[in-house]
Amino acid sequence: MRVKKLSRLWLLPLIIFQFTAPAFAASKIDISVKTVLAAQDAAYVDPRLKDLAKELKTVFRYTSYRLLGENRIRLELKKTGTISLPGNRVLKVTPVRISGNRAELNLAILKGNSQIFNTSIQLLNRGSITIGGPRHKNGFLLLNIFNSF
Amino acid sequence: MWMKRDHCSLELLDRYYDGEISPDESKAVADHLDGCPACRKRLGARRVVSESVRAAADEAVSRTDFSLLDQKVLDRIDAYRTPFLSKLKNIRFSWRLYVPASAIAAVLMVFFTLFLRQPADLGPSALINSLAGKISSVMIIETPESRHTILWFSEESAHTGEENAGQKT
Repeated sequence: MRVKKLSRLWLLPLIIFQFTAPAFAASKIDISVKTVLAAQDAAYVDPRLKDLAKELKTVFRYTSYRLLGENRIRLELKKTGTISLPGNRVLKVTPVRISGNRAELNLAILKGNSQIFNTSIQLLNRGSITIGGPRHKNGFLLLNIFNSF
Repeated sequence: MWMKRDHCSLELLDRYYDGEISPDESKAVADHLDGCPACRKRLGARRVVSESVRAAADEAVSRTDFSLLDQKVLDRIDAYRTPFLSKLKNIRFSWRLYVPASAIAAVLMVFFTLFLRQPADLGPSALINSLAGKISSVMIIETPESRHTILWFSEESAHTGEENAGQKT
C-alpha cells in the first residue's frame, strides 16, 4: 500500500510544473526571418511559402511570392541580432522581454546608415508577423518574422 | 469353426446377443440354440448380466445433474483460458506497472507543455506597441482566419501610388 502511495507522488511535481511552467520564462528566443519578394508577374509561389502565401493572398493581390532568403538566429533578451536584407538594407531584432505567451521585440529596418522604420511589437510564442513595404526590383519586400521561446 | 465341442463360444454368443454377426451366422446360432439347452443357459446368463449393467447405468445417468456438470467443465476451461480482463485486473494495481506508466505520462506531459503548448485564446499574432521612421503611411492588417498580423509601410522616398498597387481594395 505504501509503495502505491509513493508511486502516485511521482505525479505531484509534474502536475505542479504543468501549472507553473509559464513562470519559468525562457531567457533566449529563436527568431526566424523569411525574406520574400511579392510581385505582380507570372504566377508563382515558392513551395516553402505555401502556408504564408495562402495567408497573404487573403489580403494582397500579388501573383508571385519568391523566397529570397531565410535566416535563423537565437537571441538573449536585450541583445540585438542583425539580418542582411536585399537593397543595402538590414533588419535589427532586439527581444526586450517575455510577458506571458508573448515576446516584446524591437524591430528596426535600416537602409545604409539611415533608419527608415522602427517598431515595437508583442509577438505570440510560435507566432509570426509580416512586415512589408520596401520596394525591390519589380515588387515589394515582405519580412515574415517568426519567434519561439 | 465357431463352436467348440458342439457348443457356441462365449465370444460368438456375445456377438449374437449384440446383433453383430451376419444374418447367416445368426440363423445358424438360432438353430443351434433351439437344440442346445447349455448354450441357451449361457446366453440367458449373458442377457441377465447385460441388463443389470444397463439398468445400473441408466439409474446413475438419471441421478446425474448435467447442468452442474456442464458448469464444472466450463469453469475448468475458464481456469485455463484466463481472459484479458482478468489479466488486467491482476496487473491494474501492480506498482511495477504504475511507476513506469507514471513516468511515461510525465514525459508526455512535459513534452506537450514545452513543445506543443499553444495559448488557448490566441488573439492577433502580434500587437503593435509603437511605430516610427521615415515613412509616409502605414497599415496594420489582420488576416481573417488565423489573425496573422501584417504591418505595411511606405517609405517616404517612394511613389505612394505604386506602393499600394498590390493591395486589395
